[in-house]
Amino acid sequence: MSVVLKNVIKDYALGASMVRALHGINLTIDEGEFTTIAGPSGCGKSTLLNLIGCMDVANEGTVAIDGKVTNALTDKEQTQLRLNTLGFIFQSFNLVPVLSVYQNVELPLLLKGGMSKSERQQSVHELLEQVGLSNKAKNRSHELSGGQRQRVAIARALVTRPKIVLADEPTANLDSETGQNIIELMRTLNANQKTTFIFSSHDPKVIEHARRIVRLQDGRVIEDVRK
Amino acid sequence: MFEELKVLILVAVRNLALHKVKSMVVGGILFFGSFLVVFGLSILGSVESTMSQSIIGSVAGHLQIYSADARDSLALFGSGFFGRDDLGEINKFEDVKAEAMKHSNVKEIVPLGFENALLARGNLLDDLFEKFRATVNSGEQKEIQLLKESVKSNLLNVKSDLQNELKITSIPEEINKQIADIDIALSDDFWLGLQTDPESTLLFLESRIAPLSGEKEPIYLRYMGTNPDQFAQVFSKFKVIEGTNIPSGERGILLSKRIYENQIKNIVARGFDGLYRGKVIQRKKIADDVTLKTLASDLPKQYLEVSIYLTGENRDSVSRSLRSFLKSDSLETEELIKQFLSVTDDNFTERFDYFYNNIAPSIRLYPFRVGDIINLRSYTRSGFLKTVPLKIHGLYEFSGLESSDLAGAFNFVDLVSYRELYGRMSSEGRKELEALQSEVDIQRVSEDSIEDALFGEDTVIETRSESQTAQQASLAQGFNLSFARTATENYDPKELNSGLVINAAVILNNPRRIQSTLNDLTGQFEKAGLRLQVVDWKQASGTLGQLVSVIRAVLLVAVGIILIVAMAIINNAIMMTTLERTKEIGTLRAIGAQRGFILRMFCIETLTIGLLATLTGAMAAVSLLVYLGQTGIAAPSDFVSFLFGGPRLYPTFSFDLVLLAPVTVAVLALIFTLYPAYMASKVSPATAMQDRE
Repeated sequence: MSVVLKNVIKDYALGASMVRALHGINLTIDEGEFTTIAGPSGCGKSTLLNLIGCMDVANEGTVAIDGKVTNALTDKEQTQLRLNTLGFIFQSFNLVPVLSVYQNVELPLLLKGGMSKSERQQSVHELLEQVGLSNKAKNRSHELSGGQRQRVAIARALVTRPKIVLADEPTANLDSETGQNIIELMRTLNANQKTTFIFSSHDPKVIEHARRIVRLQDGRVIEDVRK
Repeated sequence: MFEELKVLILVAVRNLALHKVKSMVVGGILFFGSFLVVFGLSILGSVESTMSQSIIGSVAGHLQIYSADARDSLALFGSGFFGRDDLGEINKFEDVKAEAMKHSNVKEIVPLGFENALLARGNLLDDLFEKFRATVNSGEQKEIQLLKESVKSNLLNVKSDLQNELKITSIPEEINKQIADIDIALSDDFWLGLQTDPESTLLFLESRIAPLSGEKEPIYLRYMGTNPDQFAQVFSKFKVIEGTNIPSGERGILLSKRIYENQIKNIVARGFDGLYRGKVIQRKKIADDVTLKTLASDLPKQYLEVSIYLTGENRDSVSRSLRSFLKSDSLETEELIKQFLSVTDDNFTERFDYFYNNIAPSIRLYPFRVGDIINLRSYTRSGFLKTVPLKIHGLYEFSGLESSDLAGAFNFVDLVSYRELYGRMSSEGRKELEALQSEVDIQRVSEDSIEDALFGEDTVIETRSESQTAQQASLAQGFNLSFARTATENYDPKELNSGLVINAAVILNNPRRIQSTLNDLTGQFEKAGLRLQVVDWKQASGTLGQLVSVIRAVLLVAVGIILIVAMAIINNAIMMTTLERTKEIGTLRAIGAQRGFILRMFCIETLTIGLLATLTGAMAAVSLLVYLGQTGIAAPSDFVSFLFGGPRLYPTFSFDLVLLAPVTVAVLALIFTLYPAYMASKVSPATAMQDRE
C-alpha cells in the first residue's frame, strides 16, 4: 500500500492572513517503508502527517492512499479509512485516561466491530506481549511510565493490523533511552509485519534509525534519502 | 453494538467518577428536581383528592347549577370579597329538577340557597335580670334575696368599669348620668320598691341599667336553606350528632357543631378550649405562642361572663371552693374568679379540669341548646330586616372534617324558612295576606298605574287612605310582622321541590364523567329555555377550588425554574467537558470513532447520571411518601384540615408519576445535552496531534 502526494499545498489562516504550511509537496511512500519526516519545528511535518492521516485536507493537490484520493472522501469515509487502514501514535500518547491498558488497546477493535470477544482478547494480548506489557493489561494509563504509555499507544495503533502507521514525534516526550527503545520496537514491528511506518521527528538520534529520511524546510521537501 | 454500548457506558461511568464535582452538582440538581416533581405532585394530588371529597361530600356535590343572570360567580366557601353575592334566582326549581333528572348520569339534585344572618345575643345583664324577674314572679324570698345580692355585686362591677371609662371619655356628662343611675339602683330605697312596686323596679333595671353593660358581640351565622331529608341522604359526610335532623315538613335550624363550640359557647369556656387545643394537643407553650398568650391574657378580663351566672347558693359554693382551690383569703367572688382565670403554663391543666368540673355546671355554657328557639335575623332582598324564629333541632358535623371551620361554616335551615328570610312569601303566607287585603278592601295597584291611582281624576281621599293601608300591608309583607309563622308551624314537604332556590347541587352516578355531564346539562338547559349555568365543584367552591391549581402552577413554575437552571448547568458542564476533553475526543476520532460515537458517548453520560439521579430522587420521594402515608401529615391549621379532608393527610402516589417524572427529567437533560454533544462530535481528529502538554 503506497502513499502518494502530488503538488500538495496547505494554507492555514493565521488571524486575517493566510500562512502556507506546505508548498506543493510531491512524495511517494511505498508499502513497508520505515520513513521519517524530519525537520525543525514549524517546517510542516505535522501538517504533512495530518494530510496523510485523513485528518485534514489539502487546499491544492491530492493525497492518495493506495490509489484512493482522500480529498474526495466524506468525513465518514475518511474515519473509516483511519479505522481500517491507518494507525496513529501521538507525541503525548493520547490514551483514554478512564480506560485500562487492555481497554485502550481493545478500543479500535470495538469501533471496527465484527470480532468476537475471544478474538479481540487474543489480538490485544498478542500486541501487549509484543510491546512487553502483558502484565500491565489491567492498569490505568496514569499508573504507567511515559515509555510504557507509548508502548500501549503503539499496541493500540497496531491492533487493527493497519497498513500504515503514522507517528507524530513519538519520542519527543520520552528520555533518549526510552525513545531509542520505542524506535527499535517500531522497527521490529515494521520488519516483522511489513507495516509502513511514517514518523516525524527532529531528533537526529531518532532520525538515523529511519531507512528513508524526508527532510522538510519551510513547507518544502529539501532532501529525500533512502539508506 | 452491544459491546460498543458497554464501552460507552464504561467510559460514561468512569468519566462521571473522574469529574466528581461536576457529576455531584448536575446529579444533585436532577435529584432535587425529580424529588420535587414526584413529592410535590403526589402531595398536591392527594390534597386535591381529599379536598374534592371535602367539598363534594359537604355541600357542593359534583356540579352546581345557578342562574345565568347571576352578576357574581358562585362561591360556596367565599369569593374572597366582601359583600353579598348576586347569584340571581332559580324561580322554578321543579323545572330545573325535571330537566336535570333526564340525564342518565344525574343521581340527585338538591335545592340550596345560602345567606348570612345575625343572631343578637343581648347583653350580660339581660340574662341576669331575666332570671331575677322570673324569681321575683315566683315569690321565693330566699332566692330573691340571694339574687339581689348578685345583682348588686354586678352593678358594682359595671360602676367600676364606668368609672374607669370616665377617665378617658370625651362625654363625661353621659357617663356621670349612667353612674348616677347605677347609684340609684344600688340605694336601699330603690330595693324597697321591690316590695311596693316590683314592676317599676324591674323595668328600671331592664331598661336603664341593662344597656350599660354593653351588647354582647353578635353572632354572624351563615345558613343554607335546603331540603333537610334529601341533604342528609345525599351528602355522605353529613352527620347529626345531637338532636335530630329537621323533620320533614317542620321548620327549624340545624347548627354546626363547630360554630356552636367556637362562636356560641360561653367565651370563657371557649378561651379554655382554645388554650387546651394549643397547649395540650399541639403542645405549644402559652409563654411562647402569641395566640395562646392573647387567649390567656383575655381570660381574666372576661370574669363577668362567669360571675354573672353565679347567683344565690351557687355563688357561695363556687366562692368557697375557689378560696380553697386558690388558697386565697379574698371574700370577693369576682376577685376569686379573676385570680382563677389568670392561667399560666404551670397551672393551666389543673385549672382547665377545675373549670369544667366545678364552675361550668354552675354557669350557662351555651346561650341556647337543642330544642330552644332562636330568632334568625337577615336582610331580605328588598332590604328589610326580617326575623324568623326557628327551633334548633340538632347539631351536625361533617365526618372527618370536625375540626374544619370551612366545612362547618354553614347552618342548615329548611328551604321554606330560608325563602321567608330571603323575602319570598310561602303559599300560606300569601293566602293569609290576600285574605287580609280583601278584608280591609285594598285595591291592588300596579307600579305603572300608581300615579293615576294616587293623583288621577277619580282620586278621592278614601282611596288615598286605602293606599296607605296597602302600604302598611306591603310593609307587613316585608317585615312579616303580622304574618310571621310561629317556629313550630309546619309546611307541605312538596314545597321543597318547587319554587325559589338560589342554586342546586347535582350528585352524579359516575363522577368520572363530570365534564361531559356538565356540558350535556348546559346544552339541555339551553334547549329547554332555562337560563342557567352549570359549574363543577372546583369552580363552585370559589377561590378555594382554585387553590390547588394555583399551588400546582407555582410548584410547576418552581420545578420549571429548577430544571431550566439544571439544564443550563448541564449544557454548560458538557461544554466545559468538551473543551477539557478535546484531545480525548480528537484521539477517538483519529483512531476511527465516527461522530455518532462521540455524540452517543456524551448522551450516555448524561443519561447515566440523569437516570441515576432522577430515579434516586423519585425513590427518595416515594420513601418519604410511604412514611408519611403511614404517619400522616398533621394539618397545621383548621383551614388546612379542610384541604386534608381531616386532621391528617395520608399522601398517596401513582406509579405512573414515579416512573414518568424521572424519565421526563432525564430525557429533558438529554435534550439539553444534544447541542454540546454535537459540538463535541465536530472536534477535528487533528486536535489529537496538537500537543499541549
